[in-house]
Amino acid sequence: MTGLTGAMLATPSAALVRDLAAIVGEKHVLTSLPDRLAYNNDCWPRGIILARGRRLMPHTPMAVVRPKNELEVQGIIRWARRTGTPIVPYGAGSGVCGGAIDDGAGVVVDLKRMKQLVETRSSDMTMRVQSGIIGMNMERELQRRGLTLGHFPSSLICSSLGGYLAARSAGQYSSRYGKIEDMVASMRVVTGTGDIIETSPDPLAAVAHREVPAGGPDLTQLFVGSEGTLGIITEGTLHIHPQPDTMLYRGFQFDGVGSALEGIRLLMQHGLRPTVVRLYDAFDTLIAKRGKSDHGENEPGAGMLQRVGGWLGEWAGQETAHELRGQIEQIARGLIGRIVGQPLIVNRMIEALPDDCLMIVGFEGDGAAIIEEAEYAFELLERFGHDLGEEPGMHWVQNRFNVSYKMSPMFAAGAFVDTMEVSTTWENLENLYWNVREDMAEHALIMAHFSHVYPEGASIYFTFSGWATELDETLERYDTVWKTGLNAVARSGASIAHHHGVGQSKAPWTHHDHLGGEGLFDALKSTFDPDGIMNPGKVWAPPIEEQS
Amino acid sequence: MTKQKTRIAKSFYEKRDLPTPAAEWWPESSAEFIELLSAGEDSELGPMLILGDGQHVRHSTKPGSSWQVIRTESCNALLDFDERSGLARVEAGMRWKDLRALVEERGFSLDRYALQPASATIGGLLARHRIAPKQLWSGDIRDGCVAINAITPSVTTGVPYGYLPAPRKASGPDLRYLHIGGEGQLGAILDVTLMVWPSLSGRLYKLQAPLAGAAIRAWKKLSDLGVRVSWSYWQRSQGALTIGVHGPAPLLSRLDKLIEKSWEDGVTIEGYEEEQRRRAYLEERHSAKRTSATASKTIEVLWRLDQLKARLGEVNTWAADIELVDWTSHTVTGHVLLEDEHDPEQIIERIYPHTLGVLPVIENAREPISAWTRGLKQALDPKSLLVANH
Repeated sequence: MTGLTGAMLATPSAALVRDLAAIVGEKHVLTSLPDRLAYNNDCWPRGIILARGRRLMPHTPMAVVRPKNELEVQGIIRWARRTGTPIVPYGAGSGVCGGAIDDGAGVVVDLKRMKQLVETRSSDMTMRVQSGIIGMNMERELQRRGLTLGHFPSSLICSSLGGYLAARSAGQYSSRYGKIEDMVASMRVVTGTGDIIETSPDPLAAVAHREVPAGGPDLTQLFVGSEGTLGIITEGTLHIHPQPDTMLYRGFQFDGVGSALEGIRLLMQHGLRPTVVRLYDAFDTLIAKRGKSDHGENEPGAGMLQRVGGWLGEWAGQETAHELRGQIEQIARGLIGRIVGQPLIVNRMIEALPDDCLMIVGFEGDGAAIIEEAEYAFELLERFGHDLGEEPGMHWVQNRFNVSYKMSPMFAAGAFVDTMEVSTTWENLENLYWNVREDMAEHALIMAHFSHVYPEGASIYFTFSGWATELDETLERYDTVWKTGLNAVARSGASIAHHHGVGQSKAPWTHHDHLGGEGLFDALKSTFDPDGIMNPGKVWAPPIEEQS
Repeated sequence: MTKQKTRIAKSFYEKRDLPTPAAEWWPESSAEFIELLSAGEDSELGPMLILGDGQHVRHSTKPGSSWQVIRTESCNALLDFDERSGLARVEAGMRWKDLRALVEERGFSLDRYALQPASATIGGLLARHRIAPKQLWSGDIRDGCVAINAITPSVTTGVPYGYLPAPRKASGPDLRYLHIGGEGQLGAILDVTLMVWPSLSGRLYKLQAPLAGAAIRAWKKLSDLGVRVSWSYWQRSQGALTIGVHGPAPLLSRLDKLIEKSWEDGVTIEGYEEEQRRRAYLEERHSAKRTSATASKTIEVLWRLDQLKARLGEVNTWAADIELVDWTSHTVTGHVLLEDEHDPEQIIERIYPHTLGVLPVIENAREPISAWTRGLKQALDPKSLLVANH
């Protein structure tokens, strides 16, 4: 199937449109083909491959509905229960695991109209905010008040608070402020039963307004990361901080990943709290240095493409005529296929590169202690590597939101690019790194950086790219790469997801992180989503072997 | 097969103001624990209460003569120690003070955790219900817990649930939290993987604060200076805010100067040894224990930091003594000792609207049950093998 017409898509019934319009108003029920196609995919690269091949049907929802408040969300869920309609919550659609896509028979609930920063309480440093707010807008408003959440995913401009909470997001400053699950104190959720609950009584409200629960589970940590499978998060209460007044950044160069990781491990286990730690492996370092700009986490492989073109540009000289540059770009595109189409050879060449690694480390905060802490940390790191001074660090700070949207040419060239963020303990970290590299080498061009570090371990952010001549072959290769990668992660005893969530793409591997946990997840589903209408097929799925 | 004790030490229960059970079961390993719960599915066992040291049981149902107890204290093995990652995996019945000794033998510490009752078990500390959610870097044991293994009665395969020991996962809901804070109503925590820290150095700073207002100002000043506090303690009758701080020696030396400059004569600085001694003392006599001599007259209160001064203004007029522990950037936990003539229930009723939550150390009231609690109980413990706190 290589085309799409409106007639090929199921038409939403008049009853569906009428019922939903009665809840949110006619204007906010979207059923036109372009509207529905706009929600055909989030940022899942597999969906992009399908879209490029004009295979849009599988994930096009029956309708998109845009509630303006919690009561309308409740109305939608109650309607969905009555009609047995699957519901897919949707924030900004920046997820990369297919967590916000429908399977063709459901209704997408777009929460972006619920975008109010309800309240900031500087007296106890918390805020209440609706889940549909875009991260950048929220942070801007906080900073206007001299505050910060401390959550800076590189997708900040195109992602929402609800998405962060639903998928256990991490920002670039996670080593100081933690991940979103560390920042949240409570949430309001409309569960799949249609009930509105607070996951814990607003713990920092002015007045205790509800009996302390009878003990039992802490629902906050059960709903964070549930990806819409138990309910729709409508509001969160989160810890905030004063904006820091001191910034101290450095770049360091190491002889290899091993020595750099040893330095970072000691830094964290000595109780220091750097705001930013980013270590690039040899290939990633090479690209970062050539590009002289940091590739944000949502710019996977765009860097690769730009730099291939960039190298050719440099070779041809800066003064090359416009026409000639156009031809060079064409050649560059051709080269992409040749490069990423031969991953094993290229990966072996990469392994022959010098092992030099670049690290960015930064401390931010208030008060004198942060300066002392940073100085101690820089001295400690100098035992393992070479201090490059302030410039690389400040360069990263200035470019950290330079998220480019230049992946399209990569996909247009028949290639794909994606990322896999995994985590493990310090003891297992290098084992994980090499296992994944080794197993994926024959299927995809691969590079990595380490950007979220903790006292007990760290995450690795693998970026990989592959290529095939035809759509089906591309999809097959894409699936093979993921299967190979996640199997390597699971075999290494590491976690399959650190901050992108599970969505649809990793659901068959969730059981590796929760051994024997299917019964527990089922218990949550039967309690909070007895009809199975909430974002079906996400978070937990049978292992691939069982599916086949 | 797990041993059943025929002679039950009644004094254990008397000290904790709990009724003597009909039977006690003493599994000596996680395997025996699993076997016991699995057998319970097909037998007449139950309802059963899982007890560590029994200091934080909020069990008020006063079950009849048939109730039984599973004592976890014999499940206390150190299962794994990953020095490189700073992780210790221990069975849930390990006592806090025993874990401290074990990690110290290996050159590590539990320094960065908040004050915990010394005799409490690790499983019990995690299963205990808390009013407030965990907060990052606050020394909360929930924050230092990286993984658990746990068993629920509904599991018929005998395979426990295992949360992978890897940092900060994004692989769906954190299913550990069916057991953390769950008070053993949905299952039992079998073992725990906790963060431990290399033993570096420490300081004990005693900041003069005769009144709570001065303690609050001192705490905010510490925060402004960027001091990272491991544990904190203020007692009205002592008049000083005492904090433990840990880190590399050179950083602490610099911190000494900073603190001296900021407080001038109002501070006493002691070294690591004294800090350890003081901590051990406070953990031994921790107020939030059912065995505490004053337990029946002590209530635990969670206040907002910014409202603390005003709230204490009222409490000060009738409380026999007040301790403030576990200071965070937002909240403070208070242990308020009542005068003999006070009825804890009435006091709670009175101050509740002005707090984030209040619990008596020894609780007698039944708690309401929500539909979702019932749903989870039905799904995970359909035969009600485990005692429910409602």
